[in-house]
This record gives sequence, C-alpha cells and structure tokens, in this order.
Amino acid sequence: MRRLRLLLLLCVAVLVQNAVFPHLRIGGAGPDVALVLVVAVATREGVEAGAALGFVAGLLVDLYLQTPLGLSALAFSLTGASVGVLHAGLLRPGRWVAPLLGALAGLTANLLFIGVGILAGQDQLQSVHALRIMGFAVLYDALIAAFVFPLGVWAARSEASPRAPAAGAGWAA
Amino acid sequence: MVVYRRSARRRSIVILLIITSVTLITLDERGNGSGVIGSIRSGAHDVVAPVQRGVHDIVQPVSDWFDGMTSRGSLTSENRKLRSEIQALRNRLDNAKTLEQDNARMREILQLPFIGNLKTVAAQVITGAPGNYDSALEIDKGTRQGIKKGMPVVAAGGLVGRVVEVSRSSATVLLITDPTSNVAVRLPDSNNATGLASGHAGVKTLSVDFVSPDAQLSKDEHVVTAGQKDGLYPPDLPVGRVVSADKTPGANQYAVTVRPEVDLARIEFVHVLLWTAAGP
Repeated sequence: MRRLRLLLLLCVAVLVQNAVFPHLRIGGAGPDVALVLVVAVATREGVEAGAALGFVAGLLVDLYLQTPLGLSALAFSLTGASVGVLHAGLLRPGRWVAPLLGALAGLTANLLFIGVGILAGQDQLQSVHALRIMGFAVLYDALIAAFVFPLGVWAARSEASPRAPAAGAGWAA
Repeated sequence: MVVYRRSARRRSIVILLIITSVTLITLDERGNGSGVIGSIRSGAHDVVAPVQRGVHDIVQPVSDWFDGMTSRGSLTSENRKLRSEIQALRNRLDNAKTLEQDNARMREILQLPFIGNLKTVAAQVITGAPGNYDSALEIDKGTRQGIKKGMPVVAAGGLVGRVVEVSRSSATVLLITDPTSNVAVRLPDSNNATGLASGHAGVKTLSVDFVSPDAQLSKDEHVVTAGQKDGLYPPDLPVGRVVSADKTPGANQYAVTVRPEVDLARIEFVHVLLWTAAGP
C-alpha cells in the first residue's frame, strides 16, 4: 500500500512537472518536483529507498526529455542515495531543512545531469546558459521543497506506525 | 556483522542502479531514440498530452501573468520599443497605398506562400519543453494526423524546427535555436552562398558557418533553407535575416549571425509540413 502510494504520488509529481511547470518557469527554468519528492522520502527511509525511488523518478522524467533515457535516472538515483546517508540522524528537524535539502539535491542532481550528459555526448549542456538555468532550477527546488516535503513524508509513512516520529516532522511544524 | 551486511547491500543496490542507468544511456544513444525505448517514450507522451492540453487551457492566463511578473524588465523595454513603432505606424497611416501593400503582404505571410504545394497539418502549441535544458515545443497533433519524426514545422513567417518525438496525439518539435539543431541554408541575395545554421544554448539568434568569404553579404538579407539532397528540410523555407556578418582578415569563412523570422518564444500555432527527407 505504501509503495503504491509512493508510486502514485511520483506519477502525479511527474505529471505536474510536465504539464503545469512549463507554464510557470522562473528565469527559463522549472523545478524538479519528482526529485524533491525523492529527497523527502530518502531523508526518512535511507539510502536504498532514496536510490531506488530516485531511479524510478528519473526514468519517468527521462521519458519526456530530449536527452538519453537513464540520464536523470542516474542523477536522481545518486542524489537520492546521498541524501539517504543524511537520514542516519545527521539532520535535526527544522524549518530550514526542507528548502536547504531541496537546493542541495537540486544542485547535486543538476551537476550530475550536466556532467554525465557531457560525457555522453550532449554538447548542448556545455554552456554558461546551462549553468544559469541550473541556478534558477536549484532556487525553484528550494522554493517548492516546503510544499513537497510534507507530501513525501506522508506518502512514505508506514501504516503500522502512523504516528512514528519522522525525520521530516519538523518541516511541517 | 549485521551493519556490514546492510552496508554491502546498500552498496550493491546503488552500483546496480548506476550500471542499469549507464546501460540505458548507451542503448538510447546507440538506438537514436528508436526501437523499444522510442515506443515507450511515445506512449508516455500519449498519457500526458491530454493533461498538458487541459492545463494549457486553464493555466495560460496565469502563465501570462507570471511571464509578466518575471520578465518585467524586458517588457518595459519592449513596451518602449512598441510605442515608437506605433508612432511610426501612425505616420504611415497617412499613406493609404502603403497600407494596402502591407496588408497584402501580411495576408501572403499568413497563407504561408513559401510552402508551395506541400500538405500541412495545423497544430496548437500546448506547452514548452518539459526539460530545463531543451529548446522544444509540444504540439497537440501526432501520428493520428499523419505526423512523423523528422517533419519540418513552420509558422507564419518561416521555419520553426522539426519533429523529433511523436506520439498518437502529440509531438515534440525541436526548435532551430536548439544547440543540437543544424539547418543547411542558402542566401539567395548573395549569389546563393550556402552555409550551416545552428543554435546555441540560451541565445535567440542562429550562427551560420561555412559561408564562403567570397560572398557579399548585407544586413537584413534573407536566409532560406538550402534543400540539399537528403537534407532535413525542403528548399526555400524562410529561416531568418542576417543581423551581422563579420569576416576576419585571413579567415576562410564568414561569421554570420541570423535572427529567426519567427519569434520562437511566442508561438501559439504552427504548421507541420507532411514532408520527409525521403519525399512528400
């Protein structure tokens, strides 16, 4: 049930990312809604969940991009795994955690996307413009994190312990 | 011991996902977007297209407002420019004959006279590129209307790009300003000099390479598709106008900058030419 909930929420995030945010760009960039959702889940569930969910989210996002399939999957998966490491008590809940993690994850994922993309022959990513777009995307990720994190934490919540203290409890507080 | 096992499992999962991702990237690059991956992509576009269309209808007014908020600076300068243009147009109102000629010219443009007898499918732009690093558009027509990968897309004025992804009810158009786009072009007013127009990330103009240094280029000169054998576009589609042409002493080619005929940031409707390199 929890996995289904997560998958459904992920699909909705990708849908919103593809249908709504192309109309609401800031500085030519849109946010990575699915990535922020992955990060929210990874902070609660750890490395494995972060990596696996990041991979699925990245694959779904890749279906709508002109870049090779697997590029976002790799970037999101590694970002999800990295954030999952922080899950082991390194983070203290606080209002600033969600935007900060959103921005850090956005920066990591975009740098990985651009770096691996260039290695894969995507020369269009080798430009100052790409870095500018990345800057705006990171800011946007930080902005939406405050709204997306509670959703991710809710979806990842186990039925057995609905009131169990979550790493993200402080985000909504 | 348990901690070690868990750590090893985590490592294996991450490594497995990295290997799978790299394999997928390689397969997609080698397959050039066709085959199974192409079909999956096409299906995914079909699923999202109706939602994109619905959202486009709802969000457009909000989007216009948002655009206004985020591009206030450019709107102010554009407003200033438009005011001066209005003044110039008012002066021209005195000359009825000129107005008539302009009217006739606009009618010609709207009827896309440059496409000749080629069949077209009219389509509405439903959204911009979902990705942050793509210069593309999503349109509301697909294979059901006869659209295929590679077909050129035009709007009133000239060339917009070509179809790079197509599903049953939608298609993705790669703009001519995308860094991965290349268009073989011809300059009819410069003794049919030829060149290759390509885009650059974040730049609204095109650069044309390989133009012979012997050509005598002039500002505002027309640039059209060359229509070479097995080329991606039919001949004589307007591409843009020359903004600048610099010839460095000793260089064996011009550095030409071209402004596209179509304002690619504000397209609402396009025409897909039912033409492929193999023939119409």
